[in-house]
Amino acid sequence: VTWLAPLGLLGLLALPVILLLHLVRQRRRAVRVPSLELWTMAAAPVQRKPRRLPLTLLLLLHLLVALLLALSLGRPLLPGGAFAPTNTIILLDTSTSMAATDGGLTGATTRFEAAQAAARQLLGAARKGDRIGVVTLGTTPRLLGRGGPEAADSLIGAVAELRPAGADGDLLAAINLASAAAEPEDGVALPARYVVLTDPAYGAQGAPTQPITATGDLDWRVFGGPADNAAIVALAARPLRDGGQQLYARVANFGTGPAVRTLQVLLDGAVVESEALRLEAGAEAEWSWPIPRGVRLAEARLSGGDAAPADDHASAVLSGGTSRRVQLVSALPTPLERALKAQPGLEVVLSTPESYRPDPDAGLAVFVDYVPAALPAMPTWLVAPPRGSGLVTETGRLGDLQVDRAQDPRFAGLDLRSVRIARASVVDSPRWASVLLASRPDDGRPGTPLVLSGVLDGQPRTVWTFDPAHSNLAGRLAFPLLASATLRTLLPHDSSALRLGQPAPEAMVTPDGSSIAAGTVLTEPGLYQWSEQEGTVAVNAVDPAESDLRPRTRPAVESAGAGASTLLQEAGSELWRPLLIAVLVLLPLEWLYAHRRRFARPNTAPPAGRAQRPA
Amino acid sequence: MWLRDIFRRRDKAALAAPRTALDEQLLRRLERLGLSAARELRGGLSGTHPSRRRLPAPTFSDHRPYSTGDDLRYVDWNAYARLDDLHLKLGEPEQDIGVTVLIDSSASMDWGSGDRNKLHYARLLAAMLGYVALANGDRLRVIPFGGQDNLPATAPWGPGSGRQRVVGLLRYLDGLIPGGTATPAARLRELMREQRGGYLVLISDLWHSPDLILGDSPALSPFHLPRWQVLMLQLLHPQELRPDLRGDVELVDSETGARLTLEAGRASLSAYAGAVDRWCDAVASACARRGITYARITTDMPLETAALPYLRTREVLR
Repeated sequence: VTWLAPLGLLGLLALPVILLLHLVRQRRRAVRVPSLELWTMAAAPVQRKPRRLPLTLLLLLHLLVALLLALSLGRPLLPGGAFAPTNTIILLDTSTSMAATDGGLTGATTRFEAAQAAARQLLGAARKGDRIGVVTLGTTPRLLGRGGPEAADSLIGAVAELRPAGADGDLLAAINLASAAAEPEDGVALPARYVVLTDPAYGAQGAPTQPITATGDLDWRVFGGPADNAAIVALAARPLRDGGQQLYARVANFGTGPAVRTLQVLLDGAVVESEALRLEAGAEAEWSWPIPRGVRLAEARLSGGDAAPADDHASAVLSGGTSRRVQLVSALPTPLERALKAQPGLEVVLSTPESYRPDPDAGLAVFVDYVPAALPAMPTWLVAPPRGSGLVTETGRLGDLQVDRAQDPRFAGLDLRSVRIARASVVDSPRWASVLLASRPDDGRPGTPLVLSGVLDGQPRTVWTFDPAHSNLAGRLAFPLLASATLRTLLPHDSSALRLGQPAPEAMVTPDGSSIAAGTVLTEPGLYQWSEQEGTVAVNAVDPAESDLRPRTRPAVESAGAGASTLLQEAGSELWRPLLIAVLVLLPLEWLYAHRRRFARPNTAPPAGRAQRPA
Repeated sequence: MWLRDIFRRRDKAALAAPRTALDEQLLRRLERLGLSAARELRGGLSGTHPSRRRLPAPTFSDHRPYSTGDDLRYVDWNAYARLDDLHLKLGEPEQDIGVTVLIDSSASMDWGSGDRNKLHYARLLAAMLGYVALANGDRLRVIPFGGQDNLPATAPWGPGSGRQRVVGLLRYLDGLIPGGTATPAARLRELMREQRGGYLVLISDLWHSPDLILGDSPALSPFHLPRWQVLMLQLLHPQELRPDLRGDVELVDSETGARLTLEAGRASLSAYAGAVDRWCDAVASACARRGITYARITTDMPLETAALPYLRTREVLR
């Protein structure tokens, strides 16, 4: 037995005190007799004898109560109850391959569910003094949380919310993140233990990489085994010169044997092609089909079941009638022209303000230092609109501006710190627009909006209040990025860009109807809708690396060793509670026993020989 | 309720002895009995006890010469015819007597549990003898000694006669509360002043009463025939005769509170038993010397099957 509070055992000193009290309190048994007359004649003088301790039940009860109390104060711990607390960081693989449903998983349907169960078990087993944490080993390693055993419930809840999506994570980055999470708090260093919950498909397919050093023990727990899988590894559409499009699909067999499947192509929900295919182990096959105009959605389905059904289906939202033609209206050649032409998939058509006529085929109109009398019925980008245009209210001009940090997620990732704007209009933000980018206020000079965006006359309109020609943007890498971010406020997104595990570029509506914010990892394949603009986008689980479920070589990890913890922590099986309960049970018994005569008092005086307190 | 009983201090009344009650069968049996009163006792003229007085009576016992004023109804005309002299027929008239029961209600009587409690037994004895007296037309008084003087029950009961008074008697006996010190001598002095004679029943354990019967001038010495007939019932608990003690004990006197440390071994218990026997014998001898009927009764004797036959054997009852 280990005593967690040995000073509490000082309570054992009460035992000799109780014995002493009983010894002192010991009296001869008082017996009431009718008269002492004859006893005085008969009584022999009592010889003084050494006083003996009366071994009564009351004494035993007193000693037992005091003993139990003293022991409970010492907080005894059963052998084996003490343990060295650890710092356990769970690295949970959230790659798409964890969604495989191969056999051999007890009590779980997917590898990820088995890993979740293991994580729950690890987190739930945390004892007082332990530290726990969870890092997702996904496309971007993320620390879900850390803390003591009290954080177990919240971490278990967070783990339950996770869904497998995306590519394999960077183990080194995850371990670095876990190491940071394992940093000691309160100056108490605990041995770190990294538990990697993953599947056999994690790792490199080739030779092992340079060993990674982990500052702690690394425990690999692999869920699932070798599994055959055939998958659609690519589905894309590209425009043809005749206005139509061409659908391209590639299918790969990652199994160890030949795969016999049927590939179906659906256009707007109708099956238009059905290809029977037989792929040898490790083989790939690709097809392309012409798609007529007007088709909005193309799908490919691979029949037959395998371990990863998610990659047997892929969709592509076709641009259809939406034009990517951009009409740039500018009196002078502008750096913006180059930035627009640098954007993939854009066809830039130039015109001057004098020759401007709305281009019906254009999907976007860009006006530089010019605003037509009537804005076209299409998304419009206005750069440095002249004073009096009515779009914005100009109150002055400012020079030598720096760009402030943007809050909008589309601009937040841009590094605009080195950008200097020589001159810009000071404008009041109109009601129809919101400020996406502003200048940094300094020296008592307030900031002014630089990029405004909103919907005016039913069309998205974005305004740059500055002319890029009056800045150093033209020579900066940030310029095309800023143009791209601005285009994202005006044009629908490219359909072929989103994969499972990717963060949502904007607020979206998932296939099941729930809204997700920008930056949320896409965990469910299917058709998503943009929240702030029209259009849909397909999210596919097309990733050859994740569809290949064959075991791979794990990254080599060198453990720096955690060392044994010198801190001994008490376990939850302390004995003071049962001891205290025993005391609480014994106390009434002792009281009843001490007052038993009161309960059993006869109606008349006791007979001779029965002890009684003298009156 | 249970908890309330635990914390409630029990009062004396709750500790009282079982109620004094005589069953119907015993009452019928007692109605056929009577106190064996001596002929020398001088009582009234309407009782059932025999008398030594020679009075004109229907029951013939002797003659005496007629004198002026005698009732002519008692003239023995047959003797006049033979002797030619007037003689009266004399008889032994039956008489009633005053029965006084002195009952010890001191603290020493409150000893023993249940039916073996001495005071309870003394109540039953008093009730039994009192009912016999009432049923025989005697005048009964009950005078407790000892007891708590501030309580009304310590006042004497009676005199009363007739069996209809038995309910009041039992109620009175029930009301006796033990306590205090036995003071029989004072009661006897009062009794001597108040009454001219009668049948005196003294029920006591005789503890703390050294001057009652023993000694040179005991309090009972004036109580003798022909004025008084005394019946001494010494009531003891069996364990007073043979105490069941073991080990070192501290004896506490129930009346005085005095303490005596004792090693209750075989020798001391044997010495005590001998002392008790000698004491009882001394009491019995003293009673015999003074013409007092003495009977030692222990509370383990069933009243109807043991005590009553014993009293009949001792000719206390006839």
